[in-house]
Amino acid sequence: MESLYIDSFKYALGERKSHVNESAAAGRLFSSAEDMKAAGFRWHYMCEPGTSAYDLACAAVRPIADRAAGADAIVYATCLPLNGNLGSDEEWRTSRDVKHLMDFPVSRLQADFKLDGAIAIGLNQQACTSMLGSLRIAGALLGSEPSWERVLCVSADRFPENAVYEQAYNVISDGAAACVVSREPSEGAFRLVASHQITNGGLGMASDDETVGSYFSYMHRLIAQTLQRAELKAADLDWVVTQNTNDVAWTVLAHLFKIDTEKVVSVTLPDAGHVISADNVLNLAALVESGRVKSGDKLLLTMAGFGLNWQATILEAV
Amino acid sequence: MTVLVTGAKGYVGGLTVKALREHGGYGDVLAYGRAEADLTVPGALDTVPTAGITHIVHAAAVTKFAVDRATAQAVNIDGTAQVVELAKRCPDLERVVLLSTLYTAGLATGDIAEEPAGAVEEPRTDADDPPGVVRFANYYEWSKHTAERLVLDSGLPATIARVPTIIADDDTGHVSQYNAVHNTLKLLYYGLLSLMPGLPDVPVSLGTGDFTVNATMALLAAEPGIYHVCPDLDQTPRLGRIVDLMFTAFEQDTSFLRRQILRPLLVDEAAFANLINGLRTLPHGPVLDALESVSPFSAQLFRPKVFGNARLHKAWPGYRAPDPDTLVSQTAEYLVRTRWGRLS
Repeated sequence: MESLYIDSFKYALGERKSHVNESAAAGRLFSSAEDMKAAGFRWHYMCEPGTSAYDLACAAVRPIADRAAGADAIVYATCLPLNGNLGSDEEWRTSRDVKHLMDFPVSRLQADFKLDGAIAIGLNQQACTSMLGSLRIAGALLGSEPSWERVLCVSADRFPENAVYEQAYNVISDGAAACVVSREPSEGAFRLVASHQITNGGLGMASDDETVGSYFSYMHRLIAQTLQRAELKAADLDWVVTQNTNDVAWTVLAHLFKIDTEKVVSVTLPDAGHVISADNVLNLAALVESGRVKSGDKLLLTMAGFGLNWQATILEAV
Repeated sequence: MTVLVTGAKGYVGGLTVKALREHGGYGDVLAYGRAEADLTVPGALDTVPTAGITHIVHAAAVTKFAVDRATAQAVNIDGTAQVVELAKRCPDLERVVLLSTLYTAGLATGDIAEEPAGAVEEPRTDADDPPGVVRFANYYEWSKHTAERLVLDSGLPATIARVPTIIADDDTGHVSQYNAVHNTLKLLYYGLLSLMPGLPDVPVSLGTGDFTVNATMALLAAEPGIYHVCPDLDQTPRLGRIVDLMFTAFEQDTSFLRRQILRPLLVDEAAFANLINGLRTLPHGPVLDALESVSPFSAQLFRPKVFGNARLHKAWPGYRAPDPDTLVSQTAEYLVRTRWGRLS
């Protein structure tokens, strides 16, 4: 099978930075600040009232606009389906015209960044796993369209005003991430080795306790199956780039897979919290920035999300 | 003949009173619950008329794995001391039977004989112990071990009945007393627990109320001494087998099937400790409560034991243990069908 590459990882965060103490005091968390700090969280980011998820998407894409130019497709992912429509709720209510429910951010992105040749694909039912889902879809598209060269992947979410910024015991940040999947590697690219997803619709509306309860057995299965797809063993992994969730989660998983916790990268957890589907990009960018990744390194990226969905991707540093 | 039973309002004590009254042939039965004698109160048994009491079955105990030291001391040790003093005042006493636990063997592994264990040592896991010292996983085990010592050292005609973990009333799997085991199964059924401590091949001695009480009845007439009231090794299921049987039973339930709950991963002590520590950082909820109730026992699931029961066989010609697979399956089916007793 032809190799595909991923590069140009960028992200953007909401403008308002808040400490968990402040957010807890303001009623923006279900849990106490102490509980959140015990789980590793310190700060998170929220959008100003006038900032949309699409604004975050643009901020993430802008630095890689040159690389995205000429993209054959855009896969635009949102965790919250409501972030997949920029139409005015008020206009929909007054006009009763459903076109106001179909003002798609992916179409705007295509126009705003002059990605004229790109087809638009929205992905909005994979929750926090949707960035990894977009990588998989991009890979499948390039596999089925021999003339295509690259696909722009974007994920962008912000919580509605007055939302509680905590889900399944994680402190949430508004944020967006972007990257490019292509046939030709550019500087700093990673080869896409394997992607895998598990969905359990039977737990589609799982409670927080059910989400936590099922986490380890499903994540264990996800990782084992992903490694199998890649014909790798856990010992072959040089890095595990995780979701920004309670830092005990990967203490347990690393122990189960006998992975040195030094290889587990969730360095942005204290400063950014759980940036919805952008966590992997934040942590990967930080890892690359640290200069510790060398050519040939194999990285496992994992995410769990509502639905319930679990997704993983294995990359190899070029 | 008169039999005095402590803990008569409790599960095994209550069943013992019922069995004595229905089949025992032991004459009067004095049923003492907490209302009649609160064993945490000094002198609680001082006014018991001792004349004519031929047998005492001491069933009163706190049996929670997570019991704290003070409660274990007050109920299981000091309470037993009061029973021993009462027994010494009974001029017609023929036997005092202490209902104990198999896990007075503590964290020992391998063959466990029907004989006194070593010196008492409080629960701790990081000790470099001298030979003969018994370490324990929790204060329940420690207190029952200490209670055994009190009874054995008293000079009384004493029988120690070390009973297994009771998961059902009888072979049908009906459950009327719920404990940490049932709570753990509930977590598994509802998908709230995906890691379990233990080794798949560890034998887990399980019993029923019927089995335990029938054995106790037989031991009332047997020679004094220590008895392991447990099924034979080949009738003792392994932890991995128990989990498989439970999930096979759960999977007969359509709502469970729809939720696609995976079988839990059996993990080592360090991973389980990490899980508990992690959950402690989450807002307090039923998952942590249930795990905290069973975690003090978890160390036993890494320490295989084979409980000898030759003395039990000799003392109880009618020995009959439940079929382990059937018991586990029937119990799981009952729990699911009644949603842990809510629908029964």
